[in-house]
Amino acid sequence: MFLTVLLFSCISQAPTPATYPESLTEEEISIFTKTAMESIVQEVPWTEFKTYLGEESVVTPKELHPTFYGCFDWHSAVHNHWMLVRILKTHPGFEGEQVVRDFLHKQFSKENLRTEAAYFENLKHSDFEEPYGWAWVLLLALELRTWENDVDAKIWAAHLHPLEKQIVNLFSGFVPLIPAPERHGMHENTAFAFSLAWDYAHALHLTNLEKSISKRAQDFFLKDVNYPSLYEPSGKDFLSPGFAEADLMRRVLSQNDFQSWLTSFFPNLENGRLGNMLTPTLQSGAMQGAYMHHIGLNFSRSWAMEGIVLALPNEDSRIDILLNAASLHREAAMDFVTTGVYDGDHWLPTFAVYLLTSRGLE
Amino acid sequence: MTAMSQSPSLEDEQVVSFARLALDSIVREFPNKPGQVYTGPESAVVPREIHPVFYGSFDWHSSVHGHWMLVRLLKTQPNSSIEAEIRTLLHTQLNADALLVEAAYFDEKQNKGFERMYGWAWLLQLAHELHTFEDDDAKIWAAHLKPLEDQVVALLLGYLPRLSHPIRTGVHPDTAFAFGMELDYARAVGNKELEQALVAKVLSFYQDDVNYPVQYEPSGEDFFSAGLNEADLMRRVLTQQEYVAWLDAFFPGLADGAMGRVLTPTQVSDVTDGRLVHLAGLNLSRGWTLEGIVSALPDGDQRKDVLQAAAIAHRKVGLEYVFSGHFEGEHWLASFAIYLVTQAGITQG
Repeated sequence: MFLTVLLFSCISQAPTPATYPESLTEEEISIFTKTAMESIVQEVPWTEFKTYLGEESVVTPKELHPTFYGCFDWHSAVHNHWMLVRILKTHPGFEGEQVVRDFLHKQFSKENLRTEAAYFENLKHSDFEEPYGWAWVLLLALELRTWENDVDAKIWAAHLHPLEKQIVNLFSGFVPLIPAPERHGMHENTAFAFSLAWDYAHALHLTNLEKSISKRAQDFFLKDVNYPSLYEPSGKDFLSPGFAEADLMRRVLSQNDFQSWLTSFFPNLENGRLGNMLTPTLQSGAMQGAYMHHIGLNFSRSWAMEGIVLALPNEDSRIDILLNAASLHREAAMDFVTTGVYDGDHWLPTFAVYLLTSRGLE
Repeated sequence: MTAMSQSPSLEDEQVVSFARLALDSIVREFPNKPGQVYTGPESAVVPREIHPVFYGSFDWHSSVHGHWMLVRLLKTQPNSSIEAEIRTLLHTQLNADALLVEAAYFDEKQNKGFERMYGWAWLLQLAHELHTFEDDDAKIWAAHLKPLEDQVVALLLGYLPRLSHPIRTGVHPDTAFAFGMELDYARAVGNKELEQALVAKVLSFYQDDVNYPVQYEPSGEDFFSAGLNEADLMRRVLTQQEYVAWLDAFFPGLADGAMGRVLTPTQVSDVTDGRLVHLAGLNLSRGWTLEGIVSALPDGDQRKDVLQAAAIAHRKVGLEYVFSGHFEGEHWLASFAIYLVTQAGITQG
């Protein structure tokens, strides 16, 4: 139960910097920051998600996205920047801190971030990175704006603001429009994006956006019962649709309501039965591409389980089962967090830091 | 066990309007979403330079199935008033040199996962259609396509052993959809190695599935029902007797019509939104999968009436969205419609 105590303690005391637990080792900080800074400026290979509108679209990723042109794709570039900020914020004084700050000063230049924002002004680009990349932009903005007493963070937040504003507008339009949630475990997953955006709206008091997400979450998910846990995971999942949904619902429901919703949703959880979802997914195949997704799945399952635990009352018998499984998933995932293979290294450390620094629990 | 019937014939006016959508889309270069891996300044080029054949129709797979649709129309609706125009375009498009460039694209390491497996499945469907078409032009086009076809078959054979879990989704990566087309191809061309690899994979992924969670469909951007795709796939690998029992366990509520919203057509809220319009395709693909399931059930099976009624309802709603006047739907829905109305998944050849 130590972990539970730790989780609750970080909730009650966050976000004052002094209270963040030392959740990363010096070695992890060194590897993760180094990997991120290398990936962020690595221009190729890069996956294009953009729509070519004509000859004018034939430009290099760096011309189009002067900040987020690396890391294989735009959303990974965004969340690697988030990761660097998160490490700076939660582990002040680590060796190499100034190098990271200098790096971010360059990356978060006012001009470059204006160009990133301007990309979304063209309506034909307005579904670019919807909703996954958007959610990570909001988390990055949240991290910067809730960082008290840091001069750099204030500057970076101000520079990010035009992009943040674009994304808030797009997200606010997107939430009421979607007819049904996307339930697969990849980028388009609705519950995951909603969770990140809800955290952003909640912490920064964007009441309309928060209410809108809460309402849609309930429209979509409140009546779900007997989740088909035997049908997880899919071959390319890096999110568990079932856990992502539960991790969203704990945000939007009262403790009582969540407790009973969870009982209907995962009726056999108290007996330790949840299909394949309590056992880490291990990969025997080659360490590349889609296979890396299952390593990310182990990370994201782990943080979702911790999130669910956070929302349950102390005496709830499901807590031990979930924490045990969360810990197994964390260990399985950490074995492969960096492998020297770019397919994984360009994004998995971010997932590790989201989990290890308990980002979702604030 | 499938009904090897003739494809239904269409009114000439219908053939012309369906064909027109593909004829226009295939040569329309923009907007385009290449989804390519950028490897340096040499990647910063217009789509046509990288894909000299399948550069139009918004994306590579839609272009491939647009070509397939034209071949399918030539084959199943002979002597239409638009036949000459279709043949002329296909002669230009299915050019030997250009198709060699398309094939060579997959030689590059970073492109080996390009369009896996959705675009691959449609490419094999195109090859399948050409190989089984007794037609002089088709023989030429099939020969020109062969290097790309061989490339995709080799990639697929390399991928199957590494694919550890089924991908269950109502969008492109759904493995049940791709397996169905790939299997139809392997059988049509007599590729035993591919057929056996696919059948083994299909059985290991899906044979034990029970109580499919129908109430969790559809997702907001689905153009497939993952559950119906799976059922339409399993009819291809099980005997009729096995299939009847498998379907009982998979959709236990089917005889009573207790299938969540899976048997009810879905309306589209915005046909100008590229993702929301996916639901139009969902109606069409549900239509053909429902018909596929019916084709595999014995006479007298009481589920046939339920399925048939739902298939008719889906076809009706699905076809209403094909000619919307908006490229977001028009670059791909015609192929789905033709796959359905010419019963491409049931009538082989």
